[in-house]
Amino acid sequence: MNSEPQLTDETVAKLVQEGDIDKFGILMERYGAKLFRYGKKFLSNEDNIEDVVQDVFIKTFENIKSFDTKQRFSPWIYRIAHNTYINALKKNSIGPMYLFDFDTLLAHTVTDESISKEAEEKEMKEIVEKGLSKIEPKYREILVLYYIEDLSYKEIAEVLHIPVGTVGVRIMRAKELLKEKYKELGIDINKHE
Amino acid sequence: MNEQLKDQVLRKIEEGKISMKPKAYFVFKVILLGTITVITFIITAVLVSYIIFSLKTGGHLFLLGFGARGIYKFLLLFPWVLFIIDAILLLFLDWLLKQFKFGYHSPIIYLFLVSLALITVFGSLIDVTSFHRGLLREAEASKLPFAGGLYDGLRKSHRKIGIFMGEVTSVSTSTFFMDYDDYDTPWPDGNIEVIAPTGFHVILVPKDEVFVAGDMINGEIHAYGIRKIVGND
Repeated sequence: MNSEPQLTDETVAKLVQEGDIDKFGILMERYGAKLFRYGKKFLSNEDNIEDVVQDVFIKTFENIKSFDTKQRFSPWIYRIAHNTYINALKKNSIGPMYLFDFDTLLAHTVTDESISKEAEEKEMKEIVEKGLSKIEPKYREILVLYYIEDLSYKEIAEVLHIPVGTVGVRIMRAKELLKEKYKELGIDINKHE
Repeated sequence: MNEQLKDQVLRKIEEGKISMKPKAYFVFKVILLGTITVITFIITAVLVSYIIFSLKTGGHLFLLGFGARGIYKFLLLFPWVLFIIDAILLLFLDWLLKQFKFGYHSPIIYLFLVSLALITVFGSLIDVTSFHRGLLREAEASKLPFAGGLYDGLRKSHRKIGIFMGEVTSVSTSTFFMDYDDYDTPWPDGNIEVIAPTGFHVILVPKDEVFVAGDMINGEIHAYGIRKIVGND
């Protein structure tokens, strides 16, 4: 399946749309591991992650004709994954999730993501990998998308359907929350910073 | 990548257990969403225009100039139910707009303020047209098959709530007489004396249309506010 690396995701998606159904396997190979990782981090208490990821691929296939091949495929499939994971979380949670997001209420200045990310990427990746399950899903997810899945602010905004300015603010809050949790648990955060 | 999972999905596709939704399905969804958004916008704007029209036509806006008592009465008479329905529709409209790319990329407060401004502008534009005046005339002639209750009574006096509208027949120093009908009986209520509040300065002449806020005591209206109605056809 991976014998056609020259084809972009968008081209492969176009071929699938046109009826070359076998090519869908290429997309599954390219995104399988990523969606597993994203799902595992986001749905930290979810046991049947395989079923959820399978569900993501089924929805991707069913809806692939709604994908605009002039756009990037990656945020589109992550959006489907986001919705599927939210539904999986809702099934197991008691209270309402994402009822209202105050971060999206006002406009926020977009910070220069490349500078801030490069400087702290290694350390944050480590912190994020270890302490994610301790913060709420809204913040957990954005850290996964940014530090682990390496999506840009613009792509994350596309996945989460929020303004780009909100992405920066939410990442900043998520980091602060994560650090607070570390302190509460008595874990020495300084060795990561 | 878990090969087993990939094979499972591909097998389901081959067996026809899952299939691609046709492009027409998504086009239809977008058109439906767009249509519902436009309809919601129109309904919300028409309701705004009706609220403005009813306040103007019923003379309720005059109450704001009649002191604390007038303001209290204005708040009592304000069409709160329609206002709340309109506010809910506005929130629904914002939710619909959030489904579009420009919507979810905009901060909620901006989206709300822009949609509120647009609705107010469109509502005011509808109010300028003869749309509501036409419906009012139809309702008063009992020719409006629906929503007649919203219009019929707007230009009438309401003795129980203390607002009166009528035509001046004669004027003296601090009182005047006017013909009015609150339509509580099949026949007109006839001519009634209005005692103007202290310091009342508006010069009235016979045939003037007036709006009076006051209490009916012993067959006379003791007014606390009087305004001449201009251009209320």
